[in-house]
Amino acid sequence: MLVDHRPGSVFRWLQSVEIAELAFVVIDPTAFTRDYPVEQVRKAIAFVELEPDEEIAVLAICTVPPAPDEPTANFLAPLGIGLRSRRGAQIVLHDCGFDTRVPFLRK
Amino acid sequence: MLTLTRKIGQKILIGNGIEIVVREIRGRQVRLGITAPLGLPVYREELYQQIADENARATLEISLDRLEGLPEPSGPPASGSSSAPKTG
Repeated sequence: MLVDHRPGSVFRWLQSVEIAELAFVVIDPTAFTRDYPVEQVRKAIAFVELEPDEEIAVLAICTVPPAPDEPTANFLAPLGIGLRSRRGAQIVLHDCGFDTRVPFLRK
Repeated sequence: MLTLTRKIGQKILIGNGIEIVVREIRGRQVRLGITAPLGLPVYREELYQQIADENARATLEISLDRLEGLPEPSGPPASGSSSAPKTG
């Protein structure tokens, strides 16, 4: 399940329903970078069989280490999740120039 | 391991749905075209490991204090590259 960190926060928690201790901090990469290839994510997760015209959430997994290390997000391998079917997958954006450790916060 | 010799443009078929074609040879690099069934992921090996490691790191290293203290950007950068905002 997907839970807001707090109301209005860009951070959300992707929490495992089956394993309580398993959770990822995630962000919407399109909020941090222009031209994020959302359509490519949609194509790459087609095998999970979304409903026709189903809206998807694109999420990048964050690593949030203690200061002074920068929080980073995995823009190379985002998750695409159908908002109605709740099905999704982590996929790789080949040759998009993104990395697994993008310092996404603006200074 | 099965080792096959192929020329540019020649293919290897694996099972029913996987096709690999040699597209280009440039010095020590070979460009391969891969056709695989939808839903069968294809990875560069080192990338697969990198993503698996990063996922593991993301679950282990969540600093809650840090998460609270982070600024919360309000929108995408007005202009710039397709990559993350540059620092400095």
